[in-house]
Amino acid sequence: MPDRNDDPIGIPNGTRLFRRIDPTKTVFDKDRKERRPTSQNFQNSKDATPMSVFAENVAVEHGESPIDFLKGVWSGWCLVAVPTSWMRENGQKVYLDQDVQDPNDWHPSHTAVAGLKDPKTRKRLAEGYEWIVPPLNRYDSD
Amino acid sequence: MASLVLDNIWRPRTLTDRRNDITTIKPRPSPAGLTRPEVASEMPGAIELDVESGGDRRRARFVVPSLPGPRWLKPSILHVGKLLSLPHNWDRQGAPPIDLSVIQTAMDSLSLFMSSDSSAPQWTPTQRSGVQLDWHENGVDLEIAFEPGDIVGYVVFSDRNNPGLEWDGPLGDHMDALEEILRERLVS
Repeated sequence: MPDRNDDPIGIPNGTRLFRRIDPTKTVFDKDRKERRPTSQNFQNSKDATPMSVFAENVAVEHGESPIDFLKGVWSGWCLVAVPTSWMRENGQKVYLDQDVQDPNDWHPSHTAVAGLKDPKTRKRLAEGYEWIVPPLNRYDSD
Repeated sequence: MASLVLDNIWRPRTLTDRRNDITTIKPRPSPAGLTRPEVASEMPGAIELDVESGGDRRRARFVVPSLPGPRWLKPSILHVGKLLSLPHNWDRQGAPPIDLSVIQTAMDSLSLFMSSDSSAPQWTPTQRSGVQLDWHENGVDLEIAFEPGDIVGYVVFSDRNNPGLEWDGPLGDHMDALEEILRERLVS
């Protein structure tokens, strides 16, 4: 797979990136007093393609809403937003990636976050989360 | 949050703009269908769980330090039972069920550095069907991941009270530090 370049023009630092969160991969943070996504949610795909997110600026332009990312097979999952700037500060390239998608789950705002995601990096990426669609048990400690 | 008005047409500036009504989204229940495991038997040095997963029922046996054991043991066993109930394709990307031997490795490791009154970890699955143990309390962010095929876990630590204080590496390289954190900072 050819290397792609970071695209700070198409996906500026000020935009937010939406990431689907597996509800089984959330834990309670006693300091924040809410459940948070574990770092395991912030990985490249098992097939080595970069981590998938949805860029808010492109989503707005195309009339997509957060709930559109949680349809079909993804119903019941949650959604967080992470600032694009946070991804870049942690060594990631961010670029629009409309081609590498399931045709049955196609979104114009589909974006790649490419780069090394070792355990330390994953943990840092996760710390930049903000809930958009939180889990039902957001405030439950167990 | 401000909205954007151009030519008298309101446009949302962000997807969570109040006028866009996105904040009214209601989360839906997890389809994972986690069920509470049943402790089938307890015996000196071992515990057995009856676990239901995807319509199948099976018995999982773990070696544990002692019974009734330290305070963190029982909540850990309950977490483990929930993980074992995850069916094939629990991640909707073809993941196999959680590896039993990985859970045993994690349990064995915990008994090496946990104190009797250490806080119980929270157990969640990893992308490779291993387990990750998390603690987020008292300013400490601590994660230890155990993956299938790996002999030892991998630990990542940071301290919110001392920004910049963070370390990571194979579990065996940080046993003393872990023992101290779980004795001094992460206590129930």
